[in-house]
Amino acid sequence: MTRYFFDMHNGTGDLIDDEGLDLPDVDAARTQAVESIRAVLSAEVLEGALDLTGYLQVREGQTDVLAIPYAEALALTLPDG
Amino acid sequence: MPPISYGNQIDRYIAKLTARTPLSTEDIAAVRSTIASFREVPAGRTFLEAGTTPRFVAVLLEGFAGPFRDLRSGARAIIDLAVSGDLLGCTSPLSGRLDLSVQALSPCTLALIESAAFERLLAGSPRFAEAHRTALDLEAAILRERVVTLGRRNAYQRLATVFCELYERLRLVGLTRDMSYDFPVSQADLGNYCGITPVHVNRTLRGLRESRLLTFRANRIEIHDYTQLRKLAEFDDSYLHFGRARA
Repeated sequence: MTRYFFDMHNGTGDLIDDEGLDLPDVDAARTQAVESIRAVLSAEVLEGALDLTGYLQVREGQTDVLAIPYAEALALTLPDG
Repeated sequence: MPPISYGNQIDRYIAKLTARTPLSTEDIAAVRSTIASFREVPAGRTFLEAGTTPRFVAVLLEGFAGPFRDLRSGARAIIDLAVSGDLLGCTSPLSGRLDLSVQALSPCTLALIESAAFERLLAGSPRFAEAHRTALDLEAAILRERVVTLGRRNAYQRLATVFCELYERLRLVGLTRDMSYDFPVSQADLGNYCGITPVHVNRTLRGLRESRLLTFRANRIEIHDYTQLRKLAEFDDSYLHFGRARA
């Protein structure tokens, strides 16, 4: 198990994770990151807003492992124009 | 006789029982003398297994413990958050087994009572039996409120509700100081209890902190504005019915 940390960076600032989660590998960390983004965005949608400009940074200790832009965590279809 | 160092902690169970049902000194002595042993459980350890019929019931003296269920996806639902003074390990009257496994969410101290001795205690003292029934009623009331929380409250309201309820439950057993209390539970487990991801927990806690409602730091909850926190949660503690007239 490796401890991965999940920091959110967006228009309202940086949210640093100082607890982390023990996960088997980087694939599990990616899955966790994508689910985390979706969960946070869905709560925002219920409040009537959707801001896709941020990204979620996965760290292992102080080392950056993955950066996932919010927009890549979901399939987005917009009307033309 | 139990070691002296556990004496005060057992009083938390007694305090919970006697909050609504007065017990005689004989009843209380009987409860104390029924305790067979004590056990320390490290955080993260599952100490009761679903589907089994344990030979003991356990009074949680210190720490936080969670009955839980895991889904195939790996998602964990923590059903209840047991605090000091709560009884764990009661089997389902239908199956005679435990419905749920129970994990220590922080380091825990348990007082173990043999199931047969606990049954004798219930049979031997109508008042203790009534106090125990009331404790079960309280547990059911807390779970009914959980249905409301998980079904209808958003992330902010969920966390606000948890911290309001914990404040009231811990105050009953003397574990609050001013408007704060120890809460050595991980944000991941808090998320499993509230049905939200750890990142969302972190983000919601930041919101509560920035709104000057509460701070969760160094394993401690500090409530800054209980009135506004209760308002956010729509928290009405009448379901807890601790036997005191509430304002």
